[in-house]
Amino acid sequence: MTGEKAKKETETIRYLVDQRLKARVPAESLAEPLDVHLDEDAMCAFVEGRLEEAESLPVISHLVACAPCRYTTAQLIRLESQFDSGNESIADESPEPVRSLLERLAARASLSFEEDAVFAYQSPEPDDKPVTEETPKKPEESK
Amino acid sequence: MIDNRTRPVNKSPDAELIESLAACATQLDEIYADCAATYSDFDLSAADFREAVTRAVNKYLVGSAPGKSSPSAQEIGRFVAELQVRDLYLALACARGNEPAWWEFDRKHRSFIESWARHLARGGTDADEAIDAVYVELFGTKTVGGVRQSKFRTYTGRGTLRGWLRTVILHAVVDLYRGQHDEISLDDWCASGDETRERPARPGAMQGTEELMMTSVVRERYRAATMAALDQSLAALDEHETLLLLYYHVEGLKLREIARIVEEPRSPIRRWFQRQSKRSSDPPSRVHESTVMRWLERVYRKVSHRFHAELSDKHGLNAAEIELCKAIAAEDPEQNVRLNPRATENESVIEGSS
Repeated sequence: MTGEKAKKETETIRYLVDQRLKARVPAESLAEPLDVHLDEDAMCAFVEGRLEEAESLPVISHLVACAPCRYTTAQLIRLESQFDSGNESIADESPEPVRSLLERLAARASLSFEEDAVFAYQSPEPDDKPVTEETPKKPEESK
Repeated sequence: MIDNRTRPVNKSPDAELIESLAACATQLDEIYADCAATYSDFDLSAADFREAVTRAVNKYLVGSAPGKSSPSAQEIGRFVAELQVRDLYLALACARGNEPAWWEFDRKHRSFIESWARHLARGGTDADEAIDAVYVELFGTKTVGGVRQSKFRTYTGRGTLRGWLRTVILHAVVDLYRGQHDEISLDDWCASGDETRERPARPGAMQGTEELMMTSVVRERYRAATMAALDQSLAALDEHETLLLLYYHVEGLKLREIARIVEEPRSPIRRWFQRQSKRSSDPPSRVHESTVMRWLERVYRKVSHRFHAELSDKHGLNAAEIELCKAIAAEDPEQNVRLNPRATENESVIEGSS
């Protein structure tokens, strides 16, 4: 195959791959919606390149099959390259604002809160355990 | 520090795991002592710390490879040595609501959380809401079995606390937008950067396939064969290859962004990529966009080779028919395609319009 012909062939296949992958994703998402997703811990470990090869294999398999998780990891990769994390200063404040923050958070504990993440590699809490809304209390009491 | 003796036989995986963990007790104690000395007022017990490390081991070394034998003491020792132990210690103390720990967390990470949330939410009240939602989630508002379900409990120390926070914030912002809009496109508010990625364009040769026509039955036969062959060719790829193709074509990551994940020194994708490149005498000490592009071209050639083989061997098509298949797959919906069904390999089946 001549260079020009090979280049044209690559272009064609590239286009076909592009169209096919894009067309398949919505159909696959509808056909087999995955009910288990990677949690933030696994996504972060993957994006930061911290997983050993054996650990990463199920993550990569999941990302190939799961459009939402792949989308999130892609966003993390993209945003990380845009965002200069070296600019944040370290606050030098007294503990008082944190105390009031914790009190405010504890006070909000009475609000209903739905857990969104599903943890791919952790056993979920047993369903039969009673789930109760926490009574607001000061952070010191929650230790 | 680590017991490297050979694994005992005839023991249950659980017993093996407990034994391997016990063999790493000294290592864990040393790490705990170091953390406790650094954060002396966090009030976290050694038992709580060990339990968290055990959860991490179970999640990544046991849970990630079901069916595999229990990790050895050496594997656990290496895993523990790689953990972000101070981040984990801080997160565990925060999960327990320890005030000095929260103060330390807030001092170290608040401006990061705010900057990241403002960057994602493009400032304004949305960012404030996102920051608020993140803090609420980190603290936890639900209790299970008397234990407040702080988000910090899900952090294992495998990645950095900052990286984990990034993901938590991203989810919080997405949830916030989902609450406001039925459909959310992150691309609407995520800056796309200044590099314009070359999108695969419809190949010129295909555009030159002028007003071809064929019967819908024959056309459908070729289209079905083309799609099946293309799917088979893609399915034959390594999952690493598939993921990077998906990142590039579907998620729109740019070459430099893919280079970045491949470049990460510890990344398994890098190790895999290095092996691929080594095979082709292209050692990537540092991965540049051009290296990724060359790698992509190799994958396209691989797909092309398999694609032709599938159409030829499995579907019995000749070279001209394969060209026709590619023309059909790449055509515009409006394009007219004409087929000469009696075509042989030596004659073109695609005829220009008269």
